[in-house]
Amino acid sequence: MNLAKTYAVMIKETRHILRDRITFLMLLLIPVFLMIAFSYSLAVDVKEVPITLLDGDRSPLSREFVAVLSNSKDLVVGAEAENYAQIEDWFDRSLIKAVVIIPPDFSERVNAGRPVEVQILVDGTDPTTAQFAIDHIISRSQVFGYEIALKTFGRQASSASLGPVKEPIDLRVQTWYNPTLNNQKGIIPAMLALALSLPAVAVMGAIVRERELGTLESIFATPLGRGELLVGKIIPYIFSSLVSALLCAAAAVYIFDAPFRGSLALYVLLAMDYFLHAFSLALLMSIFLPSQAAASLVGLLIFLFPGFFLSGIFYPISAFPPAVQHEASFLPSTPFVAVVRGLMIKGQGLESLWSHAMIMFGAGIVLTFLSILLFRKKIR
Amino acid sequence: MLYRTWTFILKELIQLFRNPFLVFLVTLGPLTEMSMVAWSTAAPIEHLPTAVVDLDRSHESRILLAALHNTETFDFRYYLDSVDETRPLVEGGDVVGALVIPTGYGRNLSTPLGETPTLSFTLDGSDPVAAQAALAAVEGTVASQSQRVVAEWMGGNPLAISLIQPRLRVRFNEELKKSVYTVPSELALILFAIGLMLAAIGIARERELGTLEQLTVTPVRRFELIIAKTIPAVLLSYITFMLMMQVAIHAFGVPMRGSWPLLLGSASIFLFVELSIGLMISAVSATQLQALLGAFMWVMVEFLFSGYGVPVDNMPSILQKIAHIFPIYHYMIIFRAVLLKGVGLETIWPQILAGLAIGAVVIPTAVWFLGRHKWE
Repeated sequence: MNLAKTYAVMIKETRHILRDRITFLMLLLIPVFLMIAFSYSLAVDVKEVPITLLDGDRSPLSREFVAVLSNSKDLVVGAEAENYAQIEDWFDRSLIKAVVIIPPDFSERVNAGRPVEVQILVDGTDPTTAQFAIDHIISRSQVFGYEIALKTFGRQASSASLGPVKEPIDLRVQTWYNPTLNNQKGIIPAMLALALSLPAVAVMGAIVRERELGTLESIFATPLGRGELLVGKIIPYIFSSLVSALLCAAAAVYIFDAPFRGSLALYVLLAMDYFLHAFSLALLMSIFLPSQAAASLVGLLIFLFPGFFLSGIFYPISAFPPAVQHEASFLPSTPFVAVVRGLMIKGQGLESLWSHAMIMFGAGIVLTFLSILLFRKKIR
Repeated sequence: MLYRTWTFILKELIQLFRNPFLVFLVTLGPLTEMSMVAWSTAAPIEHLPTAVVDLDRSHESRILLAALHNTETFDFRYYLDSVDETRPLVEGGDVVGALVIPTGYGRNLSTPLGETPTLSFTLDGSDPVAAQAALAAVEGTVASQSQRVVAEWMGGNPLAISLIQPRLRVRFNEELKKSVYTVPSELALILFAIGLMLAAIGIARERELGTLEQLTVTPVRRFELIIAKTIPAVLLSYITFMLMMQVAIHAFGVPMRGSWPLLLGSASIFLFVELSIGLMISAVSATQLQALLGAFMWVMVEFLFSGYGVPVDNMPSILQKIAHIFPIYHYMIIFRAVLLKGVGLETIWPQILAGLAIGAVVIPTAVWFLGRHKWE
């Protein structure tokens, strides 16, 4: 492969990109915009879940229970329900996510020291919120019951041999890297990887575009080899994407206060690695796509949706069924998310990240070769 | 006029099917995608790799480990002998956490007068989703073990401690499957994304290839051409949508408790709105690449507001207000309500109204844009 020819293609492509200022700016800035938008909105924890109560007892004890349930930032009790029909309606309109139903014999049983059944109806539409509501309602109920029981036992147990009852087990949790389990800090590396998959779609469009416009035919008449054409085409995109990558990292650190504990040089190196992988995949796909419309759809399916979903952002990869885990590892965004997370949040260096780096590099090289091989200098 | 429009619709369809790859892609691609997503989110977060150092090896410590195991959240892949061995595992991300049970744990728990044993759990916070699941499971298990132990101290009646017995009933999604929430989001998104992208690229394509200029010398009216261009997009979107719905319902157990006419009818309204947005994008784009990027960006933003990743209710309130501009936000409410709760028009009419309102703004604007901008 002749370096001078590759260089010539590179210059041509760069000129093309710069000639279309708007597209160039879009290419550069949309990833940053997306990363900011996503990181801002997706990094939220569940809170203030609206619930309601149906108090069938209306005794001082049940009111105390109601107070315990309402007194928190996690559960918000609006108006209290008066009957089942209202509850149904509120559920249908998604005004409440859960309802706690206190039976009429609540205080009677509790004061006698007998267990009482409290019904909890939960809207399961969104399991995350539902689980949150369930956990909080149950834990508050249990604390309430526990305390009442202790008071009751205190009254009944005349011997002081029990003493003050303390928690039998002391659980100490030490959270590394993200002590507040701030969702945002965890999400940012992933959003970065996702946002940076956009240039790959543009690369896909690049080859397809030439084919569609007919200029590819003219290029085939030149002495350019396949390798020179393909490699020369993607290099300018790698550079512009690196700029985007740096901008995204800057946004993460300065706007979201994300940690950046690793080395910047390593970040740049690994980003290039990622682009090599992602772009060569895009290149390979673009050989088979007849039109840019198809390219856009394939881009959507291969980079956006899976990038969002299978790269371990919302759902840890270790929890996927093994077959899906296997598939996810083929996508460029999966190793990259792991790399960015490791680098930014844990401050890992090349020693720990080299396996991911090698995967991307290896895949990138293989895909590039494959593209060069499969690219036929024929017009279909 | 009808004849002209019909001829052009035929032309578009012929062009479309000349490209069987595209059709194939559009129908089967999202299907496989959705299947993967549904399949992997059907289960709650479980089997997270964890490390355990049991320095006590007593009856009590085994009960604790069994209880943790029963939550199914943990996969105790590493049984280690010392605390130091846990460090590299957490650092390397091999485990989501490491639990250390100290010596004397069982002995101290056998009587209320013993020392309080300290269980230490090191958690890898870099993946908050996994970490939170692990934390919740550990805290919950320790809490229930605590209750059991206190009950034993007090004479062996656990019920004496938990007077409040919660009886849980989950509605609409009994198994709390995440896929029931995410699959509809994906479905709606794909429906709109395909329609929007094809519409956006449609006009831009003809402009770029130069064939638009040729079309302007034919008797076809702009309006008829627009309709002709959007029909293939609508057709493909619907076919994909119906296919995916069937798979979602029969293979992945997403319930469909509402009425089909309502579902499809409201989908049509919103689809037209999205298509108009696509047309607007193509009107202002000079090249197909710009249209592609613009449409892509729009789809990604709609992705956000569809509640696919996170329910919109959990977002900062400014964003919740902004969400109202996007048609998908309203459509998702309708979609989920009809699918999961089986509601009728009386409940979702505000959303339909919102859709019509957005349409009333967008569609005339799209027509105006396409009029203003040059057609060469």
